[in-house]
Amino acid sequence: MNLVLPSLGFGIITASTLLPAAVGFTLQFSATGVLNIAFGAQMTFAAFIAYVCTQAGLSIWLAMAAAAVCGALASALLNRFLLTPFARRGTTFFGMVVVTIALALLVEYAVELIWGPLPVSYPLTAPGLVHVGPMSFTHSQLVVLAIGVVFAIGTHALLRYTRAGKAIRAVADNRDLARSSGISAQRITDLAWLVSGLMGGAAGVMLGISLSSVSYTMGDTFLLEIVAAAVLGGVGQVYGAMLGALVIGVLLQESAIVLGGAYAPISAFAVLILVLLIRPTGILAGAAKAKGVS
Amino acid sequence: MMPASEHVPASAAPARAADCLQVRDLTAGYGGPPVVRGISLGLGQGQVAVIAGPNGAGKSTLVKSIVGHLRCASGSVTAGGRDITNHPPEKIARGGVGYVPQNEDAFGTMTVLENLEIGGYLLKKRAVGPRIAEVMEVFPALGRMRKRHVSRLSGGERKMVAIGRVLMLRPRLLILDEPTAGLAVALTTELFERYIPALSATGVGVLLVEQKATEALRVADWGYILVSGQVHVSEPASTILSRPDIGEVFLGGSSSVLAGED
Repeated sequence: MNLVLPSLGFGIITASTLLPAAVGFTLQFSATGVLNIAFGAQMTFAAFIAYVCTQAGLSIWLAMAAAAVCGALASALLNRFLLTPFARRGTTFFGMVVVTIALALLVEYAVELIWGPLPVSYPLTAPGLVHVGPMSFTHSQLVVLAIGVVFAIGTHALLRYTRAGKAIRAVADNRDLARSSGISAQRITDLAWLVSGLMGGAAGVMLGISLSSVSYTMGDTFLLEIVAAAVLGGVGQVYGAMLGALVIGVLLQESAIVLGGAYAPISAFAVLILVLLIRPTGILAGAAKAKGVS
Repeated sequence: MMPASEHVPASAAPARAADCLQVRDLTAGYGGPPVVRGISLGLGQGQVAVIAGPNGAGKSTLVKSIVGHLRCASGSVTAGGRDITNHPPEKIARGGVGYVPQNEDAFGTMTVLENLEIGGYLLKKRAVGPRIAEVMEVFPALGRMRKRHVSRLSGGERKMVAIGRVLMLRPRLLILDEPTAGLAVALTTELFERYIPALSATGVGVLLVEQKATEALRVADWGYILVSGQVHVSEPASTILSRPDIGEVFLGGSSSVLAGED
């Protein structure tokens, strides 16, 4: 049991990676009502873009920035030229889910085709450990943690204090009313997908750093955890996704220690199911709605 | 019962100055058979017009197609002399048309202050704050609840937020869809006797949808009565009020008389 605290460190790192991913995923849902199953595949794509950048001699952090920008553009283009046309035709919610599943497979196999089925890894320097109480972190893990925190604060600042962020919330709340207030909903939706793609891209690279390898199925596996975090917090609730990321991230690592690695996902999802039995709309749904943080 | 002669065909729309809003022969619906057919109406600057009529007559459908939430199958809409037929809602808002829907009339997940900020989205950043102060002068209660979330407000408070939001852009035409539904009597009276006359005095044209329209007609210049998607009566408000035959059927009350006719 004396491993509980040290593994809390791993949990926090997992949560830091999960946070931008879950927030990006939930932001897409609240802005457009699309549950984007291809989100994991987009993360993988961005992780490989970063790999290419590091191969070209860029530092991992510059590579991450480049991958995040690529992820943002890919996400916005995907929404504008694939999902929006489908939505205009009146494709149902489940129809859209199927479209994004198809896209996920397409991206995944494209990545395999280009970069091959074998995992690659980023050249990470400075393996020195930093000890914080019973927890220890590598330097790159600490940077991942810092980036996670920056994304949390940045999302909060964007949605709460900027005109564009408030417009995103208005469109998510009531698209027609937002348009009748003069907001170009299409442009704001593009912005929301740009931001969520940025977070997804960065999260992909962060995941590659945490796992110390990047494979074409990486995002696919991680998607389950993203969905769990988003659902736990109440889908569409940005602050809920942050809390969900923290809970799922820590649970995954703690249960790996307490019950053994094979049981980690099972116990994390058992908790998810339990929470949903008690609060079907997620932890923060009620509070979040009243606080206006959707 | 309603004599057939009451029906005013579209071509006989009143020849008044309709410089604020002019709807000509508008037909619209939700994809199936049209809900409103051949509607014509006009509104001058500083005038108040009421659209009354029983439930399901197509009042909300009509205003939704005016403000761009529904496609007009045929006909035209001009506001302030410019054609806005089938323009996107954000463009119509930019053209000085303010719209307060019947339901979901404010952003429930946002604070009162944020609702006003969104209302002023098209203003220059520097102009938003001063304009919010002005709107709060009109509705002092908004200032007192600025930090509160709209989902926690009462129906009357929420409607005030909705109207405050739409006033942010200083619209030349204000369209209110059943603003008094669920409103306390005192607030309804205040809206009709104080705010709407004050707005029209500044040159704003007000198009008011009301199911029970007697009170609304008292402050209005013109009244339209919609039945089954068509303009059934188009008369000066005072004329409609003075005619008990119309009043009994459409304004006071039981739409069951009509339901029986249909």
